[in-house]
Formats: sequence, structure tokens, C-alpha cells
Amino acid sequence: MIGTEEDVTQDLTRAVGGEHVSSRPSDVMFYARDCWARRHLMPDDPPRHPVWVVWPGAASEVARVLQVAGRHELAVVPYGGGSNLVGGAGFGDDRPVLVVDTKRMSRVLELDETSLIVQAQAGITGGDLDEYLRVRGLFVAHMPTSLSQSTLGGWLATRSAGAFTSRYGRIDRVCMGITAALPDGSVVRTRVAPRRATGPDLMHLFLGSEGALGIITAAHLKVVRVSKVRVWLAGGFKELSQAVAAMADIMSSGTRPVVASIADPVVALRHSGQPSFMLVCSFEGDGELPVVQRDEARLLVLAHGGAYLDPAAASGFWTARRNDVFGDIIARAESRVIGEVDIGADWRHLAMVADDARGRLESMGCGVTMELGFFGLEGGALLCKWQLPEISDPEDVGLRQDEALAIVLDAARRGGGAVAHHRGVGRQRSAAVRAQLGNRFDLFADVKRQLDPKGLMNPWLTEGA
Amino acid sequence: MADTISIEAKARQLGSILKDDQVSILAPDRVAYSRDLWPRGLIEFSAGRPAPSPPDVVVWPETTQDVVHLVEWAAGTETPLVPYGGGSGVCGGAMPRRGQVVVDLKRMDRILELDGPNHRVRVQPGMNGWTFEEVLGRSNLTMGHFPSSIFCSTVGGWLAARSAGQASTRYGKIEDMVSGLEVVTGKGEVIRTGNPGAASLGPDWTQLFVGSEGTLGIITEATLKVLPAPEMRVYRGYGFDRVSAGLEAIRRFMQKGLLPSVVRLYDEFDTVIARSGAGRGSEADTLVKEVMGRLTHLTKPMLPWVKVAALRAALSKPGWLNKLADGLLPKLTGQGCLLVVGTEGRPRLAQAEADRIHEEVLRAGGRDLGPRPGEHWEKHRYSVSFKQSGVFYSGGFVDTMEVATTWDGLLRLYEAVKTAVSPLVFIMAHFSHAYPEGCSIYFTFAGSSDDPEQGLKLYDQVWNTALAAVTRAGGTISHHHGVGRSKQAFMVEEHGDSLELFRMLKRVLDPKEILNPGKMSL
Ligand SMILES: Cc1cc2nc3c(=O)[nH]c(=O)nc-3n(C[C@H](O)[C@H](O)[C@H](O)COP(=O)(O)OP(=O)(O)OC[C@H]3O[C@@H](n4cnc5c(N)ncnc54)[C@H](O)[C@@H]3O)c2cc1C
Ligand SMILES: Cc1cc2nc3c(=O)[nH]c(=O)nc-3n(C[C@H](O)[C@H](O)[C@H](O)COP(=O)(O)OP(=O)(O)OC[C@H]3O[C@@H](n4cnc5c(N)ncnc54)[C@H](O)[C@@H]3O)c2cc1C
Repeated sequence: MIGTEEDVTQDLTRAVGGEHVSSRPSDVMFYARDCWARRHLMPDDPPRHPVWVVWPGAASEVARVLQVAGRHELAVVPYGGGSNLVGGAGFGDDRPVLVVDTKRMSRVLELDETSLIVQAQAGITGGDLDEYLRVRGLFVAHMPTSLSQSTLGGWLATRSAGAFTSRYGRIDRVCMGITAALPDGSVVRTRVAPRRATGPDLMHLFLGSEGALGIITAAHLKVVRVSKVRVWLAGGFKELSQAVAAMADIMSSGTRPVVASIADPVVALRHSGQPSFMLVCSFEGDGELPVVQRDEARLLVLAHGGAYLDPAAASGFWTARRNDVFGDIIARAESRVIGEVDIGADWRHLAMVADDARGRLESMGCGVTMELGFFGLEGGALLCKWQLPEISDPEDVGLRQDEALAIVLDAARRGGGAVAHHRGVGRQRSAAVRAQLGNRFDLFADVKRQLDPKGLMNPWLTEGA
Repeated sequence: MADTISIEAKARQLGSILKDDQVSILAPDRVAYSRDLWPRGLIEFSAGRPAPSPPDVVVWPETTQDVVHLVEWAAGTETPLVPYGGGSGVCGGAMPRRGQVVVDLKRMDRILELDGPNHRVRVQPGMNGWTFEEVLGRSNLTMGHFPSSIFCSTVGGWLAARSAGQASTRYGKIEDMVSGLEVVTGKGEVIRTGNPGAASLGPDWTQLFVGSEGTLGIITEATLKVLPAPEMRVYRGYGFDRVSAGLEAIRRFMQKGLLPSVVRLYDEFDTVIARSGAGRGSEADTLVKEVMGRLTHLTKPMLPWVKVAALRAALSKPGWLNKLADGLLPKLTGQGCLLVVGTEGRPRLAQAEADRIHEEVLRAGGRDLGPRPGEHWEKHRYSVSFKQSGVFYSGGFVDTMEVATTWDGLLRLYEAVKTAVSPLVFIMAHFSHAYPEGCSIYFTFAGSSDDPEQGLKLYDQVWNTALAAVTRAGGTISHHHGVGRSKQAFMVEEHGDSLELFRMLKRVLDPKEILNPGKMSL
């Protein structure tokens, strides 16, 4: 750091106004964490926390804040909802840390109802954005389970996925352009067009960069009209591989499901009364088309040996899944024995990876549930949840959690899949991801050196590269 | 430094890296590779001008390793490389300059893996478009990528220039179909991007390399998505009184989540003629009057898009026009704009989707013209584009400008361009790649002049006027042809500050500036 803490506080005050800068213990302690459960199992003595938290209100203020950070060579951690599960926004650095909370930048800047595009500031929560749009008969085609706890900027920075991803793609397909404040204190905006052929799509530099290249301050997103008709399809399968094959065919059939998941027998049992793998799809639109789509998809379910289940099982699954969120967060925060991770694989390997991970976790004594979803044309994600057997020694819990995580990531690798699908990388799995990215990681680090020569932004992400 | 090595020395050095038959300095090769299909070059060509700047050497790598060695050599000798696919690009993107080496990738044309269960194919960049679809078709698969240039363009060229096919409304542009690339950077490093549900840290490199037109890396392999070939296609034609009404219909069904494969709305050519006629007595006006004089008895009942073809023909050989018109006249139904919509896929889905679109179009004021306009379009989908040469030989030129914007500004963009260039050339347009958020406009303009010098001047003036109008109206200067040389002066208007990010990528990936320099305003 260059200068004293007082100097920094003064400069920050000039940048955003005194009421938007804090070093109060309650604030700095709060911002020392995100939703990474493993962090709660780590000794924190002496406690590590940022020195300042600021709440800028606009891109220009973020730019000024970054100028201050540059002048004093601080470490900067952008912070949205803090809902990431991987230690992406919790802090830890040798340098004094400045947290930039984006949530005061929470306005919808423009809604173009003719083109169905909304521009909003990056700190808006998914819940607020969704509410703004719903009353107008619209919604953002992005629905992570953490909707109301996460922000637009956080989605973009982690390239998140949601319940409608199988139809509309991940957030990087929903986003049409961004504004970002760069570490040198400038603001850059990528232009919006339906498509263009004038070079690389530059917004992709920042999508998935987890705050290492700059702070996203606003974005243009596609919005969709709420449809009149939604019909459900539920299919039961003895083998996971059958369900996966059926889903693969559905995804390439042109039926375009919106919600698409495969649930574990334990979960399915609750909704269908059958202990089989349950394929769930919704088809949406108006008129007859969704029904025709459902009927076509049903043929594919039958063709792969599936049984046609009561569609109410599918809608029941969906409702429960949505309502589960809050319970889930509390359970995660309090429980030391629950763990969860998202990995990716192609159609040919999804079932194999799932079986591999399940088998090895169970032999550790874990209870395991899996959900497959977030599909594309080539494959999808596997959400793997485990519960360790009760262990009393907290340090031992930590080690066992690491072991369980390593098993799942290894299963992904063995199946040629991705060790991180959509929930970010953070500290949880940066080593595994680095190894998997190979020279692409070095390229990322090269780009970071260009945009952030002083290494201000989330510096630990590329440390040692 | 590149200039200090003689052509022969370059060939010798390259001959030690590659096999003899992979290197040429023969005049016919160097001349053949001195141009792509940028119409400006064709004006020069038809005027009998010599090749402006033939490359020193042409090479044909056969493997990724060959490409790596080429790049290493180029970096060592600071000799720029120009990647070359089919050479069908229309912006001078593959045009070399003196001292440069053209790297033709057409020998790297194999399918490496066809992975049906995962709906993807790994293919080399030199694969020809039509051959590719034929091979996929044998497995009952399709990419759904059908550019008009499908016979003469390559996978690598598509990716490098963000190409769009005629069915892009359903299947997306090439950037929507690609899930991974192998690229050799200007440092000679081999980068593999993407993998299923790729690990999510850092940029989506695929989307940064796609569209970079050979300036950031040479694409040596691509993983592309494939889909089951459609079992059925349904086409329907509709008439509208005005372009705006047709656009509104498209917007409505696109925003209902419907996904036709083909959407083409042709504008009212007559309005354009009227506008030009009211102009300032320019040469173009004279030309318009002259041509229209000959056309009057035919054009009245003709559909606008037929007139596009007819006009080109009129500019070259009237006999041609007669043939065209004879074949088509009976099918012509009246004034206004024609909208062709096609759906495809599994039979029940294709039909149900067509029916929903039908309802929406009628509700928006469209008149049902039945299946024939669409079927006619399908039959001739690749023919018109290739019949331009006559125009050039007759001293005229034809070029196309494909721009795009969001729905809120689409009509404004359309009007702005027409108003700006109609005093100079014939201009007409169709709208053919639709999205829920907006649409592209494909302008065709045709001009003529007495001598090539003036022709070139007029040509440049038209482009500058048109692109300026596009950026003023908030559109993008290219939807799918790329930037190359011809549009690079407008890259600043196009990208604003964010152009610096592209330049930053160039520094990272090609610090010695050996990959296709002098393009894209880098
Ligand atoms: C119950 C629960 C359910 C979840 N479900 C899903 C799900 O369905 N799909 C999914 O993808 N994820 C899910 N997540 C994970 C998490 O919600 C996502 O990763 C989300 O995108 C994080 O958003 P955030 O605003 O909370 O970001 P944060 O957690 O605050 O930050 C995430 C990372 O992005 C950076 N960052 C934040 N804002 C910006 C910005 N404006 N500019 C630059 N960098 C920034 C941070 O520095 C950090 O590295 C879930 C989490 C929970 C707790
Ligand atoms: C009659 C006609 C009709 C057309 N119709 C369409 C259409 O419907 N849709 C459409 O999108 N385009 C169309 N085009 C334009 C053209 O076909 C496309 O731009 C096409 O993508 C170019 O492919 P190519 O293989 O010919 O590339 P080239 O012209 O050889 O090269 C184009 C650019 O890509 C670079 N490049 C080529 N290969 C590689 C590689 N492997 N790695 C890195 N860079 C590379 C070149 O350096 C150059 O900058 C048409 C052109 C013509 C003449």
C-alpha cells in the first residue's frame, strides 16, 4: 500500500461520498465472507477482513474508486450478492483489501419493449430485476436458484446458468453488451446489436472473469414475454443412462424445452411416487405448439425405455425446487457436513461421471443426491450434493470435505468433462481449473497483465501465473 | 525485414519447413491469390488492371504442426501471413500485400471426428461448405449453415468472418454453432478453446477468436454443433403493402419464441426508383431512367426481389433478363413486399410452427400467397449470387451491404441508408436474418459509370456514404461479411472505446503483427 489508511479513506470519501465508505467492524466483518461453506470451517485467527467497503452509485464512481485503488496499490474485491459458493468474493490478501459492493447500482436504466432488451446496472439483484419485468409481462431468461440473492454483475462475472438455460443459454447468451470500469480508471462499453461480424465479441473478455479484469457496472440483457401456455412432461427411467439419452434427443429434436432436468430417484420419489430417475421438461409458448412439442418429446422418452409419468410430478418438482432456496441457504450455512459442486460433461459421459462420483462418495460413507440440468446441445451439468457421516472434530470435517470435492472433480476429469460448470471457480477449485485450462489460463493472465498491470483486481485469481 | 528477403529466398526457407509441393512462387498462383471477391477488386479486374499486390509466396499447410512452423518462421523473419480459405470473402480480408505470404488452408479439409451422440463434429478449417453438408447428410445430420457462397467458402472462412447462412434464424450464425476451436496464435502457440460445459474461468476464447478474420490466430480445427437433418420443410409466402408491416409481422412471431428457418422480406423496389428519379440528374438517374425504360413493361407486376435479379441482368445483358422474367412472370402476384417464411424439422413440429407463424402474420396484416414463393426461393437459393460477373463486364458493379440493428431502430436504419445512397446507385434491400431483438438488412446496390476510374470513385463514395449512414443510425456495419479492408475505416465508429480491447488482444496474441496486418483497423 502507498499512503496511510487515513489517506485512502479520504480519497475514497472524495470518490463516492462519506456515507458510502465504511471501515466499521460490522461491515468489514460481513464482507469477509460469501457463501463458500468451506470458509466457515477454516480457522480465522486473527480474523481476515477487508479494510474498506465502498458503495459506488454509478460507473463514474466505480472508475474513481479504481483510480484511488491504483494510486494506493490496494487489492480490490468486487462484491455483488456474495452468493457464490466458491470463495470468489470473500477476501484474503496480503495487501489491504477494498471491497467494492455494487448493490447501490441497482437501477433499471432502460427498457426497450420493442426490441425486448433491458439495460440495468450491475448491482441489481435478480429478484428486483425479475419483479420490475414481471409486472410488465416480461422476464429475464435467466433464473439461477439464487435469483434474489445474486446480482446481474455476479451472474456475468461467473457466467452463471439458470433453470431456463436449456432453452435460452447461460447468461453469456442472454447478455448483449456490458459497461465496465477498468483498473486504470477508464470506463468501456461494448456496443449492442442482434449480431455483428466486426471482430471478436468483446464483452466476452469480462464474462466469466470473476472480477479479475474490471468491474462490470451495467449490462444489456434480452428479455422474454411471459408465455400463456406451459405444459409439463415427466418420464421415469430405471437407468440414468437412459434418461440422459432421452434428454440428448429432446435437446436436438427442436422441441426446445425451457425447464429441463433429470432428478435422482430419492428426489423423484417425493413427486412421482416412483423411485426412478425422473426426466422433467416444460414447454412454453402459446397456442398449440407447446403441446405438440411435449408430445414429440414424450415419444423420445418412450423410445428410450422411459415410462410416462403424471405431469404433475414435473410441476411439483419445479415448485419444490424453487421454494427450496431459502431453506437451502440456511442449511448450507449451518451445516458442516453438506457439500455440493457443479461439474460438466458431454452426453456420452454424463451418466458415467455421475455413477463414478456417486460410487466413490458412497464408499466414503456419504449420502449422495444428484441433479442433471443446464443442458446444451452437447451435454450438461451435474449438480452433486453429498452429506458426510456425522463427524465431531471440525478440522476432520474440513479434510473430509476436501476429499469429497476432490472425488467429484476427479470424476469429471476422468469423463473428459469440466471441473467447474457454472458456479464460478473462486478459491474452492482454482488449482483444478488452472490445470484444466492449461495455456488458456496463461492467456487469461496475459490479458490481466495488460488491463491490470498493477494487479489490483482479485489478484489471487491469477497468482503465480 | 520481410522486404529484405527475396522471394526466392523465402521460397527456399519455406521449402525447408514444408514439402516442395506445399510452396509456390509461380506467377499464376501468385496472381490467383492476389484477390478475394471484394467487388472493388473485380472492378479493377474487369478493367484489365494487373493484380495489385500479389503475395510473394503461396503455401498450403497440411497439419497444425505445419501452421505452427509457418508462424514461427514468419515471426522470425517478420513476414506477414495472410490466411486464405475459399477466397470468397467480399471485404478484402484475404487480400495480401506485397511481401506477404498467403497461407491457403484448403488442404486441411478432413472431418476428424463425427460424434453423433454428442451432436458435434470436429473438422479442419479448409473443409468446403458444400462437401461438408454432403458428408453430414450421409449420416442424416446437418449444420444448418447455408451461406449463398456455400460452394466456394470454407469452414475456416466462415468462422473467421462470422458468417451467416440462409437458415440462420433457426440455426444461428456460425458463432452460435461453434463450441470449440484450435487456433495457432501469432506466437506459434496452439490454443484449444471450449469443451463440453467448459471450465468457466476467464473469457470464452471461442467467442474472441471467432470473427477475428485471421488477425489473432489461424484456425486449424473447429468443433461444430450438428443436428438431425430436417424431415420436412414448410414454406409460405405473404404479401404486405409496406416494408414496415412486414417487419412488424416478423418481430411479432420472433418474439413469440417461434423459430422459422428461413425469413426473407423483400422491400418495395418501386419506392426506391421513385426516390432516385426525383434526384439531381446524376448519372445514376440517367441510368435508372434508361434501364427502367426497358423494364417498364415487365416490372409492373413483378415482385421486388425478382427485380433485383432483373436489374442486375438489365445492367449486363437484357437477354438474360427476358429469360428470367419469362420463367417468373406467371408466378408474380402483385405489388408490395414479399415475405417468405420456412419452417423445418420433425414433421409435426414444422407444421405446428408454420401454423402459428401463419396466424401471427395474418394478424399483422399479411396476405397469404401460398407455398409457391417459398418453393421458388428454395429452388434458386444459390443461383442469383453467382450471376454478377456480367454486371462487371458491362462496366457496372454490384455490391451488397449487410447491416443490423435492434427492432426499435430498424426502419430508421433502413430509411437512412436508402436516403443516403439512392442519389448514387440503385439500392434495394431484403431482411433475412431475424432475431427476437432485431434483424439484419441486406442491401444490394448496383451502379454504373463510363470508365473504371470513375467507377472506382463512385464505388468508394457509395460505401463511405452508406457506412456513415449506418453508424449514424446506430447500426452495426456488418452482420456477416466481416470488415477486412473495405470497412476498416469505420471500426472506430463501430466499437467506440472498446476497439482498444481488440487492439489489446492483438498485442497479447500477435505481438509481432505477423497475422493478417493492415486489416480490421488493427
Ligand atoms: C442457494 C444458492 C443457489 C445457487 N444457484 C445457482 C444457480 O442456479 N446457478 C448459478 O450459476 N449459480 C448459483 N449459485 C451461485 C451464485 O449465486 C452465482 O455464482 C451468482 O452468479 C453469484 O452472484 P453474486 O451477485 O452473488 O456474486 P458474488 O458472489 O458477490 O461474486 C461472485 C464473483 O464475481 C465477482 N463480481 C461480483 N460482481 C461483480 C461485478 N459487477 N463486476 C465484476 N466482478 C464481479 C466477485 O468478485 C466474485 O469473484 C447459487 C448460490 C446459492 C447460495
Ligand atoms: C456469391 C457470394 C455469396 C455470399 N454469400 C454469403 C452468405 O450467404 N453468408 C455469408 O456469411 N457470407 C457470404 N459471402 C461472403 C463469404 O463467402 C464469407 O465471408 C465466407 O465466410 C468466407 O469464407 P472463405 O472460406 O471464402 O474465406 P476467405 O475469403 O478465404 O477469408 C475470409 C477471411 O477469413 C480469414 N481466414 C480464412 N480462413 C481462415 C483460417 N483458417 N483461420 C483464420 N483466418 C482465416 C481470411 O484471412 C480473411 O480475412 C458470399 C460471398 C459471395 C462471393
